[in-house]
Amino acid sequence: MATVQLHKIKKSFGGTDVLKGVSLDIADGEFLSLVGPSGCGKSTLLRILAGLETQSSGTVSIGGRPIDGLRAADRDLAMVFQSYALYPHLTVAENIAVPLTMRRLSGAQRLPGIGPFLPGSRSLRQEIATTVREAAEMLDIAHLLDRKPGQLSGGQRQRVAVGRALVREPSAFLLDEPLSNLDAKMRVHMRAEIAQLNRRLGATFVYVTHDQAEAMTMSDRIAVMMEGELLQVGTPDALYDRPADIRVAQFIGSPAINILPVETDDTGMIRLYGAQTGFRAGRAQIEHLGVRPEALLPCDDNELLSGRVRLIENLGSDLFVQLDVPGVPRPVTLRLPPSARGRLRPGELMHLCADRARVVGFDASGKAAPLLRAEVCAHV
Amino acid sequence: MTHHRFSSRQTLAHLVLIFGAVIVLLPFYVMLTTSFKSSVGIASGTGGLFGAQELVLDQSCVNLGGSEQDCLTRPLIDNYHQAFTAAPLWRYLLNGVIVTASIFVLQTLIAVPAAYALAKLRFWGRDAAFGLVLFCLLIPVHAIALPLYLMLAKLGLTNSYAALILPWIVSAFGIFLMRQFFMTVPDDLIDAARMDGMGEFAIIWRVMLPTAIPALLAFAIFSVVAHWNDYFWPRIVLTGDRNLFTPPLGLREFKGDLDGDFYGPMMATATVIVTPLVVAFLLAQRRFIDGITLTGMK
Repeated sequence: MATVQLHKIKKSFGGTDVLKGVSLDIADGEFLSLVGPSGCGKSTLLRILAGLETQSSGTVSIGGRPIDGLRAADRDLAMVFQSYALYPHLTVAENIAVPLTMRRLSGAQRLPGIGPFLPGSRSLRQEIATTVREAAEMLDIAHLLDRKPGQLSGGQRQRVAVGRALVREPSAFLLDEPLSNLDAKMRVHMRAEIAQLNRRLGATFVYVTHDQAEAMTMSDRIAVMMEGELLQVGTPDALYDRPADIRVAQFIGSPAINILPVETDDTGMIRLYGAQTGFRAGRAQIEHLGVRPEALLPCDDNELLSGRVRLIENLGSDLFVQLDVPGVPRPVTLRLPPSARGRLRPGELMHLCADRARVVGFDASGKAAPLLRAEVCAHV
Repeated sequence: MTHHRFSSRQTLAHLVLIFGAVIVLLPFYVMLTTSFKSSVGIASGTGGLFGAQELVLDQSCVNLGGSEQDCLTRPLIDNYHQAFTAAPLWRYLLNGVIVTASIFVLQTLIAVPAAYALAKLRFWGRDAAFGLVLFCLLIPVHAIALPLYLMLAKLGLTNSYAALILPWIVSAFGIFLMRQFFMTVPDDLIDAARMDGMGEFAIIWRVMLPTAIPALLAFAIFSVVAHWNDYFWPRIVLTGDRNLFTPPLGLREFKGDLDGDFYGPMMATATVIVTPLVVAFLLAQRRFIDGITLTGMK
């Protein structure tokens, strides 16, 4: 168990910069997710941390100690791969035992044939078998120990891969999209199990995923990466409510945040296609407003915007309504309680107002910028 | 219901295949039937597959002072008896096993790590190195036989097991075949092994080799067949010591230049020599085809 520090990590393949100076501190026992669209460099960052790839510049430290020169084998990290990467010729028990036999037994003791008869080998092998059995029981795969990976389902292979990672009690676990090959139901189930495992072991977890829902549900903190840069690192709540960048706002949350193109006039008032929005720009010119679907409410008059109902999606627990708003390129989504179902008809005109505290402004570069309420000024 | 209708295309294809099979099998048939017959039967070409099996006189038995009555024997028994007594065939078979097994083990020790490096490691000049391997596949053995012989002679290694084994321990074909197989092994598996604490050689022997067993078996058959049957190279480097003769050289024992050739015992020897290969191939047939089609990982 240890802290993990990444300091100004850069990586280029040929002429392309895949990582452009990423710095990240991960606390002891923390569950940190690296999330971003595919190709953003998150897997490369994890592989550099693991020692499977070498950074072009920058330092990786674990527990305060730089480990840049160390091989993957010597970094005391365990990794779970997307494809599980189990040894096809070994049984489940042998697969889980590999990291222990490679570390605890000497080269001679590992030799096939004579190895088991060397002094000390027997008791070590028994210790390993006990550890393997304990791990298997914890993961509920004790009845599969004699099977080969080819005979297991995806979910079972996943557990074996986790078992192989956790037997040696590494200083941190690295997980590279471990759930993406599972079906939807199994994914939700394993999501909860992995989060529980983190709490039970108290170990540091670094979890790479492109699925924001996984990151939101499991993590203590999330680091959002795009195009080789960290856009924002924070708790799931902070990322959801106070995104620092318009790309973070759009990436986190499902259905996606509503982005309204606005303009700031000479007096600093923010207008949505000429109409007042009730907001005033703080320091910078505001070009976009972001409003989460649940921060929009139906009103009697046009306070923020109005549009015609295009589509009503009933999820049972929630109702998502899409509105065509003149001037806004994409339909605006709002979330309503299921009780609102009866009142809505496609084509109907709806007026919306917003929970003002939850509207976020973005400047021309896409960075979050302060918004002020406009009422005070409007009457002057 | 499927109707088996006459199809001229299918029939033609089968006729061509049957013709090919006859061409391949005919020499085996001749070898087998010759090994069963007396010299009279061979010369007259009579008696079908097994020959007439009329009693013949065992000349060596007579020479040892046996009576004609005791020395009458069947041609089949006589041929195989001579094959094992006129020449130390057991010794030759043992040499064959020693030589082919040593060649295969050494080839594996070299080809597997080389193939792993060419398939999975990134280093400067890797593609050029692989190009050289492909180039080596094109060089015929006979073209380099003379320089090889001269080098062995300079080192004083002719007439030794080393002369039979050393020139073959680097197999371009083995490196090529194993490399193609290793290309299909997922990179994640190797990375997982590195995370589990394995060094590169541990990965080769503990992960890559076990997953490549079908490919290795295919290579084993190619290698063993080629070197077990090799007549050319042993004939060049073994000039004196008959204790080092490999099985094919045993055939020379019955080439009696002046007295005419002893085809019966010679073909009996040939039958004994090919039998282990045929049996091994039949046993390994399924894995062998797996290995050539490179479908091991699924």
